[in-house]
Amino acid sequence: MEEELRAKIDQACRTAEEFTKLYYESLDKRRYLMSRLYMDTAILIWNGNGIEGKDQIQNFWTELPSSDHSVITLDAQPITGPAVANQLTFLVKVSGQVKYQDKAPKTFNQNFLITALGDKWKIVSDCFRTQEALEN
Amino acid sequence: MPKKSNKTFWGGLGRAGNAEEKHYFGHDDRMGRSNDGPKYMNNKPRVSFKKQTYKSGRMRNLIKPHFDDDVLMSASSNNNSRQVINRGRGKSFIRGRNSPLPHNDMRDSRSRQIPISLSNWYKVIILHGKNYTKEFVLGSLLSYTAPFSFIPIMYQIVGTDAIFYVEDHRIATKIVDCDKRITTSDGFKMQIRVRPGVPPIQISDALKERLKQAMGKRYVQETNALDLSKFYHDPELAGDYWCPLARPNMLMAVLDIVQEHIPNLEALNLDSNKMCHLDKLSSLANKFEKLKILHIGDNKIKEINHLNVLKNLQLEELRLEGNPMCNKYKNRQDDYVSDIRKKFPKLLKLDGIDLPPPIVFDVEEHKLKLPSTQRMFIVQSNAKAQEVASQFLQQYFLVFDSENRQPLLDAYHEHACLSMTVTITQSSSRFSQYFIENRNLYRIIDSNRRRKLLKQGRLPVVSFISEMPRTKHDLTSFTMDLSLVTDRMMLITVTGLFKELHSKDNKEHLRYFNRTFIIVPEGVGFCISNEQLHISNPTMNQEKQFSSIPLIIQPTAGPSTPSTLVNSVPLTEEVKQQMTMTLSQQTNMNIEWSLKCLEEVQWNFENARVAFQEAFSLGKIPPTAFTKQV
Repeated sequence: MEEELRAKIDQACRTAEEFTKLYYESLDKRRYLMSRLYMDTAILIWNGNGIEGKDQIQNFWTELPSSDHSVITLDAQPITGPAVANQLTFLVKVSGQVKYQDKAPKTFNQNFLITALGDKWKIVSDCFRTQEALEN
Repeated sequence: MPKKSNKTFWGGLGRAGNAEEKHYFGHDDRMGRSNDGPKYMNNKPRVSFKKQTYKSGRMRNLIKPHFDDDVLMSASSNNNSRQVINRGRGKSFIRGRNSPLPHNDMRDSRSRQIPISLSNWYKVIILHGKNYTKEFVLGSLLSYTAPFSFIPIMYQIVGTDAIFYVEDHRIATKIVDCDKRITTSDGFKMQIRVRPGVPPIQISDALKERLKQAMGKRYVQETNALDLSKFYHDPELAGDYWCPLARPNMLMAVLDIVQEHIPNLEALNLDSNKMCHLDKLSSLANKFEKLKILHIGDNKIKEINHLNVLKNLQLEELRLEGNPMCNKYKNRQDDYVSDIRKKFPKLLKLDGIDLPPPIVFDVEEHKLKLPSTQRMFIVQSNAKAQEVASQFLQQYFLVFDSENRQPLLDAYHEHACLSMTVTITQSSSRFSQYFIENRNLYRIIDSNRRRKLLKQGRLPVVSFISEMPRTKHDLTSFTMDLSLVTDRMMLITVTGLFKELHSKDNKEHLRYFNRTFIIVPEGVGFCISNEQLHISNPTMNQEKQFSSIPLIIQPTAGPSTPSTLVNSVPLTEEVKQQMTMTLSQQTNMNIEWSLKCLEEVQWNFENARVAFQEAFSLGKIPPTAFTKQV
């Protein structure tokens, strides 16, 4: 059991590294491929705006001004137990800087729930927030 | 100054490729003039008073009448003055025709030659100046040097002498000529020494306060406009401080103050400040989102590309005339307008001339729009889930902000996992305590360390949390995203600001956090099975907003809230057993004594540890406490 958990932790870290590389490359350079990363019923929450379903998410990304992300921190852990019915699932958290077109860079945080569907990793949930002062 | 003569001059010095050097002293391109003059004396005179390009009305009221050099200077900006300088450079100095003083003999003048300062700044020392009033010293000097006038910078008494700074070699020469010519009230002749010297810049709190006052008088509330033209001659400041906006540190200090007090600034006038490097102005777009009008004329901007740092500003009006870069567009007004407009597509007015409205592609404009930020998203508008999540978090942060985080044991699942990352920026030494726990996978490569930094199990998690500094979360700054709700779990992301309280030095630090929780049902309530925490410094705007609203003490958690979930559930035997084991491991005491210790402190783990350490250091724990049965 202990051994199994250790293996899962290691795998979560490795998968997260690979995943974020692919994710941000696609987002900045090959947006039209974004939907492939998501599950059919996935959800994206972008600064409090929720978009549900893979196709809607693809539309959302296509409409968004072009971006340039640089990732600074990455963290990942496995989710175990009945919560995920023992399906291999990881929680990934990223922080970094994002620039939209010529606008000044902003700090962002983003977390993903990714799960193994057959032999493919897919995003179940994608939650993005820029660090900003909010009006009351 | 025409570019052409500039080139000749520098060429003449045989320092081609050293163009940078001109900028080096940053302040004035009249500097750098020859350490060994005579060779270049045939060149065009390098010193001439600049034509008065700014409108005198703008400054007139600000300068005391007898300091009103500008008018005088411009009046004397004629050929005479050029001749004066030209000769002044020569080995034998002959006073200009317009000098009010009687001519001296040559030997006397020669002895008064002062070395030329590269920065064009000079330090004037009035020997025994302590004995005279500032008004007397300056009044006499000004009347002797008339029609030339000068602005004395940082007049102060050092030891027995009075010193101040002036700009321009010609003025310096005029002043040194007054040596032993002014009779003081006590019958002595005033002795004056002049040497090259740049006034020092030291940005102190006292200076910041004065800057604030000086700028207050230059701000027009109706138009939201701030006039900082010719700031280094500001009569409020010049007497005590030298405040050149051409110096990056001074400019930053000034802009920071402006941002703090006038974040909605719409118009900024930086005319006539001898600025050549604009790098520090790149922060304008971040600092002042509403800035539409920028005057930066009569400075020393040499290349149009230097304006690139301003590109992020959505300028509608810009003044650039009087900068060397404009000379390149002589007789090419159309190119000038189009080149500037390429950088500022929304520009409607350039150098006071209205431009025809630009024709732009609709698409770009449209695409630039980012969706506006919402504070909260709840998947499928699940009201019940929202209620559960809100209540859970409210209770969680209530305990988290309290003196004792121990009750959070009940908020975490037996096999809970927690990890933390931090973004560290400069000057945040306080982060060091977080730094060792920073599980940034880009930096932590070793698998063992990666595993170790992931806190696993209820006790390690709460023990880690208990060791974090005390906090006060600002619930009004929170955002919440509920992205996934099933029978078995919820995925919640919370962001917001909190204050970190340090009892040691009574200091508080504002932090930004982003936390993701997976909560799962347990018994009648919920507990956290996974958590990822990210901490960073707040942005400037967040800091500003935070300081502008008083922190309401626990606004949502009224006196009645202490929850069913966290507080009233007594610790289960299982938890107690775990705590005992952990304490035993950490202290090396046997189970029996560990249990005893925990019972004494009512099962507060942190207190148990402290109690152990105290007793241990006093030698009060008997050896039997450490003997373990095999």
